[in-house]
Amino acid sequence: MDTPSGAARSSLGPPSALPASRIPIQQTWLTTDAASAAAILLLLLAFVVWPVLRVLATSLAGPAGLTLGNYADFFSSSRLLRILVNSLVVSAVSTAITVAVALVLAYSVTRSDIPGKRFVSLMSLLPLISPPFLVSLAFILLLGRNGVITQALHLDWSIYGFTGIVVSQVFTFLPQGYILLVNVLGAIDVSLEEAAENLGAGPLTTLRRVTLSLARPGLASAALIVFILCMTDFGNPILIGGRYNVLATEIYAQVIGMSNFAAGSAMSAVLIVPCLVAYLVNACWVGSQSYVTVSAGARMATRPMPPALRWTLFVLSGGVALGVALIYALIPLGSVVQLWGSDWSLSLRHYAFASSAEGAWPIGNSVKLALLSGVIGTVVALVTAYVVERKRPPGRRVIEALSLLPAALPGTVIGVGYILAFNVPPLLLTGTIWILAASVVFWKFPVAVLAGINALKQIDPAIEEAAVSLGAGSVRTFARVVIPLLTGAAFSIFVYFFINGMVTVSAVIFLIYPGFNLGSVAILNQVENGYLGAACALGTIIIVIVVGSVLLLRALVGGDRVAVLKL
Amino acid sequence: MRISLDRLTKRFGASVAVDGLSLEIGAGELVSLVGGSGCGKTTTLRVIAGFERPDAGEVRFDGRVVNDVPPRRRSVGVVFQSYALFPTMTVAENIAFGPRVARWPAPKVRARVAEMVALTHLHGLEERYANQLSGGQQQRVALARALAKSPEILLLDEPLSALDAKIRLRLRGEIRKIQQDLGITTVYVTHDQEEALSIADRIAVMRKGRIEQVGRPEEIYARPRTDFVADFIGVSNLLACRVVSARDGVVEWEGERLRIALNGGQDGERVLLSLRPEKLAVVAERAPDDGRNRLHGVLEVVTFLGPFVRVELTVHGRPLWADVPHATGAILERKKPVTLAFAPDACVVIAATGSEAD
Ligand SMILES: Nc1ncnc2c1ncn2[C@@H]1O[C@H](COP(=O)(O)OP(=O)(O)O)[C@@H](O)[C@H]1O
Ligand SMILES: [Mg+2]
Repeated sequence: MDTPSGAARSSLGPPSALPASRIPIQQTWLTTDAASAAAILLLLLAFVVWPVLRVLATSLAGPAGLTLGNYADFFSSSRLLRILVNSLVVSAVSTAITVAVALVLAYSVTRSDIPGKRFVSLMSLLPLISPPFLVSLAFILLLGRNGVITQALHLDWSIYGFTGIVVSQVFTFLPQGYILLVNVLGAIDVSLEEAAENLGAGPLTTLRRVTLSLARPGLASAALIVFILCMTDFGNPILIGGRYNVLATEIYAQVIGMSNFAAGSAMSAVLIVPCLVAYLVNACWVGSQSYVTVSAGARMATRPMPPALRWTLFVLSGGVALGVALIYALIPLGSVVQLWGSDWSLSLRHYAFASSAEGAWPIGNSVKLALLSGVIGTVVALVTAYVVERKRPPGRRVIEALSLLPAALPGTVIGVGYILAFNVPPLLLTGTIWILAASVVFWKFPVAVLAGINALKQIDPAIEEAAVSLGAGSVRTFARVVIPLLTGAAFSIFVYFFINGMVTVSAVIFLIYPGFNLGSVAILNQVENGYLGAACALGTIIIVIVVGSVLLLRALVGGDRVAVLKL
Repeated sequence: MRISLDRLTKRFGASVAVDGLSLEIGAGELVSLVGGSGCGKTTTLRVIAGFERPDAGEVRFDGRVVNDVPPRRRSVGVVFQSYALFPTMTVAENIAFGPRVARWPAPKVRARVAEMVALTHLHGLEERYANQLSGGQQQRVALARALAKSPEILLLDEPLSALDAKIRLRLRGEIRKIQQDLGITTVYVTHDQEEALSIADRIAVMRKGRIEQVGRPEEIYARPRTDFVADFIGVSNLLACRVVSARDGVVEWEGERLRIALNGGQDGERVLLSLRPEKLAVVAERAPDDGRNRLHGVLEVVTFLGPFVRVELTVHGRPLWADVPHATGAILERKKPVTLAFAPDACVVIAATGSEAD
């Protein structure tokens, strides 16, 4: 990010002594602000609040008006209660393992000097850029009914079910935990650990009493966020869950399979509760716990550690990194063998697909959706960030809260809510690409807005004040002064939405319409029909497109200005 | 405990942070490492503490080589520049950390904490967390924590750099008093030459990973050996001269003949003179010759500095500073000629081979 030079500030001076002629400018400026704030508020009300309200309303609606019958049905059905417990248990287990693994990786990368740190870091982030359930697909190739290992060992066990979901979720959500913990550990001043050592503490005492003690709020935060991701995960359970049902997939079965919106809505409401609780605990309680760095100038450096600890870290993080590499190598491999599990000869036949409706069209649609979401999402997110961070209109807290709320919303709930909210005028959007784009943009809104706000925080407000004091209006200031300083963030946000447009599945699977399938959903269809090779082919194409576009953008606008956004 | 640093070298990649540095620090002595930012002070301190391994050379405590002794076995207390207080612990817990890790019995730990609290005037703050303390209080906690296990060596890295001027002065006095009461061997790193002059038994002026000059504060101030030291410690006018007559002590500066106390040297040789501003006096233009050198210049700026005023003049196109009493400053006018006088022994000859200016 370009930092503003102090020159603008010093040469122009503080914009306090302004001529009276500025007043009219000031007024138009205010109205533009009010208008943009109102527009954003309306968008958020329409695309975040309204769908959720529609879900709640539907869950409370019965043939004879308002009723709690749907909830009664849910809580009196032992099968559905079992599913709720399944969701909670599998998410808790996946979360615990994910955070533990992420902690080892983050500690190795930030604190040790083990060889291959770059590889570990790269592999920890890799699952971010692929459809979330490709991990499941890879495990099916290894340990499914026709899996390599299953066959080689003549197992009559296969990975479908609880185990499958857990291992897949661990690898799928590793990046989120890893990024959070790298930031947490990276913010801890190494001097603290040196101080402990200087006072006589050994490496393990230092780790326990200083490092982990400081990282505790960060660990709690990572756990809560990963828990939400696991609870709301749809792709992994549907692919590898077998008969182990969870809420997210059951909602899909009710709504799409049986068109039972009442039951689906009640389940959605039930699913929202733990997610929202985790979200609020993280935002309100954990947030207030984190230790502000007491001193300026935190240093981050690797420290010498006992060989035993170093080698343990090396084996653990190297093993996980190799695991990720193997998973992502299996997908393209699976796409080029004749028939996985029986005929290992090389073949490109899976790339031919049965018809273009299975291959070319869904991929084309995905690219279209990704571009559309990228453009719309970037504009809306940046304007929102600008209004919230710089203009501070009266309703700013509400705008901020609503922008971040989708982080607590399961994609399946977004999907159900969007069908319910947008299949009637005035917002008749079902059956168009716009509803898909809206679902991607607003479901993935929180990270983008936060990135925008962070980028704006790096820009000295005096630069804008200088522009305004020179007579530029609000729109012009934003367009000519702020945007150029935000290019790095804008490209990152675009890439973030683009990737999500390419890989997302849980919300859009409710919203695709006849003649408009998406690549990510097509993978699911192929797996369901038993065509693992075609599924791998589609997965490979999507990964190639995502990686290719990120590299292309980086080449076009310059190296590190395009960060792949986290979370 | 005596510390000997013997030809220490520490590299980071291609850059050399400490370059063959040797220094002897006597038992109970406070030596200040002073120098500009990036000259290797912190690195030297970290090598003594054991956080960095020297690439070459030895660190000896009382003659025993400690290169391979890990930090936690060195009996060294460190006060970090950032204080590095544990934010998850109270003041008392911070101070007790060292004794607890060493498994002192609980009553002894408690007594020691109370003792350190008294020593550093932290009464009533024992249960506070670091972020509830002022900068000066954090500094005291850092000192108390470093001293809690009665180390034999104390290392302080710019301990006062983050504090206000007033608190800095007070804490400086307190640190010195505690150090002398305990008689603990201390290395005190600072970039502030005035702080170094006021607190240290001896000063080591560092530059580019080497020690430029070591000595007692008054020695370093009165007889800087290089132009860097002359310039870094206090304020100096540096005059590049040529020796006209080594026997009679006559040099030439900007076409002007000056009489100075030369010892040795050869005719025609180039020498650099350091002339402190307080050694220059303003005299009447036609004052009778009293054996002092005379310089004629033009007044540029008068700066009020509390006890005296500092005047900047241009002499033969070069800037010179002189510190004069208020009364003198009051009668001077900008752009008007001024006559300066200084005694032959007011100059210090800096070795002609001294390192060239940056
Ligand atoms: N961990 C490190 N890695 C790389 N370079 C370092 C490291 N520590 C210090 N240096 C370099 O060594 C030189 C001396 O640094 P330092 O000892 O911190 O100087 P000082 O404390 O005098 O300001 C500087 O050029 C600095 O950039
Ligand atoms: Mg330093």
